[in-house]
Amino acid sequence: MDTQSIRKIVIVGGGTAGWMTAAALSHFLDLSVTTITLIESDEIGTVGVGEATLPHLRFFNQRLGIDEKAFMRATNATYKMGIEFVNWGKIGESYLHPFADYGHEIEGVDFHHYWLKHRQQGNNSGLGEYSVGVMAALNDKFEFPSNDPGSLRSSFSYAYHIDATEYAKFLRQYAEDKGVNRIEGKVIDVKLHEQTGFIESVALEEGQSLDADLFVDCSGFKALLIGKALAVDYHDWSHWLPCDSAQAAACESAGNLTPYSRSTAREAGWQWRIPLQHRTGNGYVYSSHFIKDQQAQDTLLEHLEGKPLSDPIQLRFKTGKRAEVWQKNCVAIGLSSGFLEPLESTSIYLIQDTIDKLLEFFPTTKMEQAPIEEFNRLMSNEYERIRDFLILHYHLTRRNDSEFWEYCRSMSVPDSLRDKLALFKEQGHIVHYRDGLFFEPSWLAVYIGQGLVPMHYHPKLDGFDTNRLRQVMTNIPNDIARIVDSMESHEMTLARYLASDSSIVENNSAAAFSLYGQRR
Amino acid sequence: MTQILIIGDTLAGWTTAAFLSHQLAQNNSAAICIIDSKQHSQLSLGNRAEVLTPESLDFHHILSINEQRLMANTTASFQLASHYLNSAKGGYDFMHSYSPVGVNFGNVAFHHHFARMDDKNPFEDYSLANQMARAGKFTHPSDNTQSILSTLSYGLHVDRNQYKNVFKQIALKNGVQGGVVDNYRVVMDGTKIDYIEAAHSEKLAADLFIDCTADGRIMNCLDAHGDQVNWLDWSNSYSANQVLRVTTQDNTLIRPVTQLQAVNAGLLRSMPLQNRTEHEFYFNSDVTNDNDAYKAFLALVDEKVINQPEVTSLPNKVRREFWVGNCLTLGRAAGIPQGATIGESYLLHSALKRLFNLLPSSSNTQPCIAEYNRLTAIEYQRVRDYQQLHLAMTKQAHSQFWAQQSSLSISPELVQKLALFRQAGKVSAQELDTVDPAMWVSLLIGLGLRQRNYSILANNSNKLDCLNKSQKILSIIEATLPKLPLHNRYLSQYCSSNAAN
Repeated sequence: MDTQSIRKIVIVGGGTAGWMTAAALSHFLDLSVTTITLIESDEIGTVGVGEATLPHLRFFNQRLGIDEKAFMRATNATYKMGIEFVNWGKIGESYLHPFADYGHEIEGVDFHHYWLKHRQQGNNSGLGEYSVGVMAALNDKFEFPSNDPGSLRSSFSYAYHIDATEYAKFLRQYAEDKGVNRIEGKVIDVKLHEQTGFIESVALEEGQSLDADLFVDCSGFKALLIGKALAVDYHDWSHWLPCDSAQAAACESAGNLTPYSRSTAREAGWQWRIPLQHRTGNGYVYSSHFIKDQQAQDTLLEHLEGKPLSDPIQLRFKTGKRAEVWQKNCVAIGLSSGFLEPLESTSIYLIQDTIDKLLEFFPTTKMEQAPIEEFNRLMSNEYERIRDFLILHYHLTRRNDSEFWEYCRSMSVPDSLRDKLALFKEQGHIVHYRDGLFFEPSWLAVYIGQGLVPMHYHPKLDGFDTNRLRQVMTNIPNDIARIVDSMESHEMTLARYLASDSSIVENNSAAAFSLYGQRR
Repeated sequence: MTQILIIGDTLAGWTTAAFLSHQLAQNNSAAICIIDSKQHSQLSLGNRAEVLTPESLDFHHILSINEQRLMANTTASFQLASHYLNSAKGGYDFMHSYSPVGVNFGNVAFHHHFARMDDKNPFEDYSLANQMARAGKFTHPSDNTQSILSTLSYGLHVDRNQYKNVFKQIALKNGVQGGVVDNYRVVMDGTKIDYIEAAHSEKLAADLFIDCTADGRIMNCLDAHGDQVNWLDWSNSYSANQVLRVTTQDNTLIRPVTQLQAVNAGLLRSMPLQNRTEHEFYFNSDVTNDNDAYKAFLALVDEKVINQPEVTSLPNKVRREFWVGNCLTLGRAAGIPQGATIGESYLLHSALKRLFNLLPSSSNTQPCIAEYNRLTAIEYQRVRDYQQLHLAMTKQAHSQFWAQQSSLSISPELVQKLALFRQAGKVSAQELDTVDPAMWVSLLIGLGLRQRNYSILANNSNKLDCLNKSQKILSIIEATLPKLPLHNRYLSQYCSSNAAN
């Protein structure tokens, strides 16, 4: 068997994608057999502007043996239990999409049907009251989830808000310690094999040329290898996800340290707010067809809650996905593989997921087709399911106060999403799939949070005892309120955990490759 | 309240009646009736025994069915594994259990370590369940997660008719109305069923008509073009078009095993029950006539035949759409992939759970129907792929039956599955897959496929550690096996009248 017949790997580009890839490969491959070289240029800036992550990142770090405290100190991290969406369904409305479950299944029927029936009987308790993740977050509380699957305290999970630039530096140190070579330079040419079309080598501005068995394209939007050299198509999804620009600026922290990000819908897009330990990251993601850059910048600055710490930077992008993320001997990781806007913090997750899949289907020098096809099939699944979930946020709105929202509300959506919406609207059914990132609790959060209340609950509940229903629906929020009451504030937990003499607080909570904690 | 009318005095009919009445009628959320005509209910069609996979035991759990009583009432035996046999040159002889083979470690599936270590032991030996199956032993899984016995997973063999009666009793107890009428007639209203008119001109209307007949005659009424439009012909997937059913009696050890034996003229599937063994011999009538099929069977089995052998032809067709308007098909009316190791009950129970999840609560049923049909079609294809793997990997020189089978095409998904395993030692899970990737892997290895590569992540484990771990697994199995009871003894104790009451 020729496992690890790949002797040379070249990663083009640093940044979060490049260094996450380098760190993971250096951890899992035997570097006495395979050399890893990362080419990056200090001249080329990275896109990281303070980033919200998903719980999966904990799993990534744990597998690499990274200490949580060291990581959090290095990246000025805070905890994140979900995202608050403001003004999405309608101006004045808000909801929190948690890394957590709602209630619990009863007699084989999902919880939200009971909530629906309860609501139809005239009770208007919010769905969020049935989720520990939502209630803790909205009260600015945080504690580590329990590992006991029987406890409500295990019904949520958490991620981080981090400074992604610092994370890349942190991982650079990690990877270089493990033996990854870093070369300062700019790729100016890519040489392909005449017959096979495989990448043979990349040439640097400084004259050096690097050959390899496997190339990883982490060159960002430029996609120097997968796009420019190999000419793999890019599927444009901007008719469904119309935002194509962002203005980003950090500001001084103000108010309580929230254990969640916030996304506020604005006239032609939405504004993010990501609290770090020492500052708050902000940005306005918008569609340049509907608003001018200057106007977007003004809107952003107008809505900062603290003094700006820098001039806004402007970013341009096109939502979509590379037709094949892996072609020949080149794998695209990060923005070169596709871009789904940061609405649900999926960028770093997608990097992690692509790295995991690369390791899972790690090639030999033969570059056999079946694993590559499987890798590409799974990546397409992943991207398309996230895409549909993101489109849902834009499409499921009653806003009609701007051209942008008129467009989103009336645009045609992919069939896969249209069918899901119909099933939920008609009878509260949430489509389940096997591979993916966002499962039932997430779809539920957005459906209900943006005002799509099903017309009917499951027919089994027709005969469900009314008293028992009332009891269940009162008990759960009471239990949750008690638990949330007993939690420390986010700020306190964070401070105690990261204090120099921090052995008092240890985190024994197991990380998982899942969004929702132990119970799912 | 939803009105549901089930048509068919069949296993599918009564299972549906029991399940839906348990889920809905007890809460007065639905009214459920079942009917069949005298002549149809007496049609003797199909298997005499049923293999139930672990998923079916979960289904029983939903219905609060007591396993001990069920087994006593259905002359059931336990099923730990399928025994695949092909004695031809280059053939195979392996156990394929529902339980894991080996132990995953370092976040890597066991078979990658096995391949990396170039382990010369038979792969199946790393499973306690496989060794128990070979030794004819059985015990229930343990709740103690530290014990190797907690890794066991099992299914059952049951008498099909008695199994039907278990559900019939539940349904009747839950207040399901109906029974056998002299005759009935389907009355259409455009493309929908208006009502079913039973003898004495009783009109039976419903929101949903569930066709559980043996031949799908209710759904066929919706099809103005007769039988053709709504059926997909699957006969080009199977060499066999006939099945011979024989019952034998045997007083020796009852193994907790379904046996699948490939021979020159076809495939023999044998399912042991407490008092007898049910056999199905799949063959092709163009190659082998009924008499020769029976002779081939007798050459394989030297037990006493206690029943009139019976030959029926195999339908080999599946619905294009399983649910149309107000008519839904289940069981044989929906189509049955032939002779599957995982077959009718698996598909039926899964379909019923799906139906329950998607049960329409409003008059706009189209979204539910579309989703139900989408998922059910995928599941049928997965079950077919699972069977096809076995059939496609079976080679017999000088056998027209198997030569023909190998010439038939397999689905692109299965082609990719085989290539992926060969090239990378991987099986990745697919939507609604019949079994989990680990069970696919053990089947692929058993059938003789060799992986050219293993996961690179396996290299992170120390080789000596791997060796120790592997040896430890074998020694734990070796130490555990002698202490376990024989299946016969365990079964007779478990199903003794005392215990079952």
